[in-house]
Amino acid sequence: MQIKSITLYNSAGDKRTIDFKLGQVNIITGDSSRGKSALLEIVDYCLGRTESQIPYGVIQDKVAWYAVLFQINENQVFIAKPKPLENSASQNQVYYDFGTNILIPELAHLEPNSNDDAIKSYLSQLIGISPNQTIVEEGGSRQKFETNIRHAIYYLFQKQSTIANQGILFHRQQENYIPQTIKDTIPYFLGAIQEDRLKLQKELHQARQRLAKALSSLKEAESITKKRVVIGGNLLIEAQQVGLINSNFIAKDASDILDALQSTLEWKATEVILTGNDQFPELQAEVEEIRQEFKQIHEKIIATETFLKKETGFSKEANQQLLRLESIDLFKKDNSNPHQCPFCNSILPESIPSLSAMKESLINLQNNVKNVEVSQPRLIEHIQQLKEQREELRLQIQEKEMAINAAIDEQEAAQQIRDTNAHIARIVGRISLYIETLEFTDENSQIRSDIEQLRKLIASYEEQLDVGEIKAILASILNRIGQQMTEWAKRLKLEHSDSPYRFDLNNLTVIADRPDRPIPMKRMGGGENWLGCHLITLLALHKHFVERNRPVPHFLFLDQPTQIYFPSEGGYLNLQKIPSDGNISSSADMEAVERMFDFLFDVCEELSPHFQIIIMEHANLANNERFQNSLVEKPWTDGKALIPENWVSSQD
Amino acid sequence: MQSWEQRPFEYANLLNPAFCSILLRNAIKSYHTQKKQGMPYPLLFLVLPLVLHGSTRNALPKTTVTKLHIWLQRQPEARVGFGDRTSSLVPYTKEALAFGMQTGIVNICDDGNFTYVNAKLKRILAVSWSKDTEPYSCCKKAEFVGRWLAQAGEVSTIYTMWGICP
Repeated sequence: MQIKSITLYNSAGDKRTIDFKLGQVNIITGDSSRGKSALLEIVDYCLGRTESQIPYGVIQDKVAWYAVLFQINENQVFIAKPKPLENSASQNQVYYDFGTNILIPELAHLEPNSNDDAIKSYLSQLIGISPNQTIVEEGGSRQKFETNIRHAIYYLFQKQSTIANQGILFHRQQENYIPQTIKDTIPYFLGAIQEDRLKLQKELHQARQRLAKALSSLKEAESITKKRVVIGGNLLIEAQQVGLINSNFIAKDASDILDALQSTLEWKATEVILTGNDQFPELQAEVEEIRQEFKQIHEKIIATETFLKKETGFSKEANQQLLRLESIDLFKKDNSNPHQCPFCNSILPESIPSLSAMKESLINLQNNVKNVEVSQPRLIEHIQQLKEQREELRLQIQEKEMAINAAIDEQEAAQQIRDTNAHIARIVGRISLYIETLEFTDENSQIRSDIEQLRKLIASYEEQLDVGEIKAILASILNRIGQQMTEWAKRLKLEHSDSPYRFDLNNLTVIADRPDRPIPMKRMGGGENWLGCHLITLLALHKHFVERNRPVPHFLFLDQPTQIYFPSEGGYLNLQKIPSDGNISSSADMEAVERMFDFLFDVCEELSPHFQIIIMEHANLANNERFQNSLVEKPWTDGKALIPENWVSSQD
Repeated sequence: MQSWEQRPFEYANLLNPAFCSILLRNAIKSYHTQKKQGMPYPLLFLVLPLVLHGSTRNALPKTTVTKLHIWLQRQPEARVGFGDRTSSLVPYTKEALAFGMQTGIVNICDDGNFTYVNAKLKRILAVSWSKDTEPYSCCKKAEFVGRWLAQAGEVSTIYTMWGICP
């Protein structure tokens, strides 16, 4: 993502557009209070910042809408926001447009069609930020959150007050909570966290749940196995008591018990001998017959009811069609020429359905629905009859069963035998159930191998998700960045350039590792060193972002980097009026300024066309050809400024 | 497009051109009221898929304060299957448009956009669509969709929001 252009609109609909070159250094020079610094705030505002930091005064008075055209690979996104309302510093309404070649629209066209939140997530997707979550070390009290495009802005802007500040390195680092946010999100931007980490975490969570489930079912099965031998022994004793097994039999081990128990399964009940006039079989047959009839009628009822339901369903469905077809009645006039195309008056190959054809469908459907409704009451009557029959049969069954009970009571002798049979049968039943549970042994081994697999799976996830691994990758990335910084520090001839420089993530500062002691940026002397530290860190980070194709916008705003080379504010401010470079305190400083610009040009060219630098500057190096070629516009002096002169003079 | 007699009768009745053309006309009317200009041809094809698909219709926001882009960021599932639905409804939209022009309820402007013709339809009271019926809510939602699309930005941007091409 780079910046193609910035556009301002006034309320009269006039536009002021500044075009930028992609993949190059862009320089804007001019007097103070010309709106140079506002450019940075405008881009921030249009990147979804709700609170506007654009300076009050002529800009806020005259501008109605701010807009930035971003280039993302071959696509363009145009984002425009109205200025905050009166008495408010915030505005979240957004107009956006997406395409491959967008023309800057007119003011009348700008009507909000989105808001900051939607734009934030939309742009994050566009530049390729995948679903992610920050990492909080164990015991940390911070909330996890998703890294989005707003967390990349710390690497995009260097305000005048930041660029040579000895205390802070990044945009907005002095604000509350921002340093922690930077530390939480930079591992993602640097690429130390896998893109699919969130997905892996979810899979790990699922695997753990499955493992817990498998463990608990294993425990259950094992406790059953333990009890098994005890229960087997008890069953054996019971079987011996009722004479199923010889009472002299003594079991030696579990398999003995099993064999003995298995033999009892062949037991058959002794026949019950009935005496006298026995009505029992006859009665039973009668009951069985009535039951059959009862069942048939019951099924008939169910079937009819289901049918009825379907019919009603049809009529509902057809009613829906009826309602929609009724649209026809809304038309005052028939389509008289259904064969003729209304666009070109030619004859259509397939004519548009005419109102009369649809009316016919309407009438057919109405008749169908009527038939359905007429047949319904008869069915309901039918069901009622069936239900009455069913009730009658139920009463009959009850009567017969009472008769059976009476017959049974007469035969107490037979009862005795049946009781013994029932007792033995119960024991045999328990034995057979017991033998079936022995299958559990096999199932246990299945569960165990599942558990083993799940453990391996979890271990492999944990290894992939290991926070230590991330730290190691992060350390290696920071090391490489440090190497680049050291190399560039030498080139810029920074004070400690004979020692290695590195970016200290914990304190968000730069450290030069001198042989005697490490020196943090704030202990280094002089604005030139502080400026150098900012430049080498940010450019080394961006070089990494570009080379690794990380989802960070690939541009960098530098606001007045050369301010520290001038002995007095006055000398600096007057500089552009004397383009002969004569105002710089010494030729050594002039050399340093040239060196810095050459460095910026070289880095940008090295990363071309993937990186863009935009510099706002008072100084105008008249004799430097690369500098002059990079000027976006003529210097903003005299009448020229961000806000055109005629906007200021117009009364509105 | 098959002729009326050859279509399966449920399809023919439920997607009959009279009903569809009334939905389109409602959308065109509210688009026109909102934006003071006719509705572009490509946008007409979004009306039927948004209004006739039950779960999409019910998920539509209550007011146009929730812009299309914001709604789509919140409900990415609305995009699932939308392309297929839209392309399958293209012939019905075209037929409904032709029907609407033959009966004179919609018209084409000089700039190629579509506009509506007043007083060509009877009042809605002429049919038995009470407030809880589906056709009634379809009509209301079609009006909403017209207003909504009028505030959603460029035609091409609207299509890219849905991830489909005209």
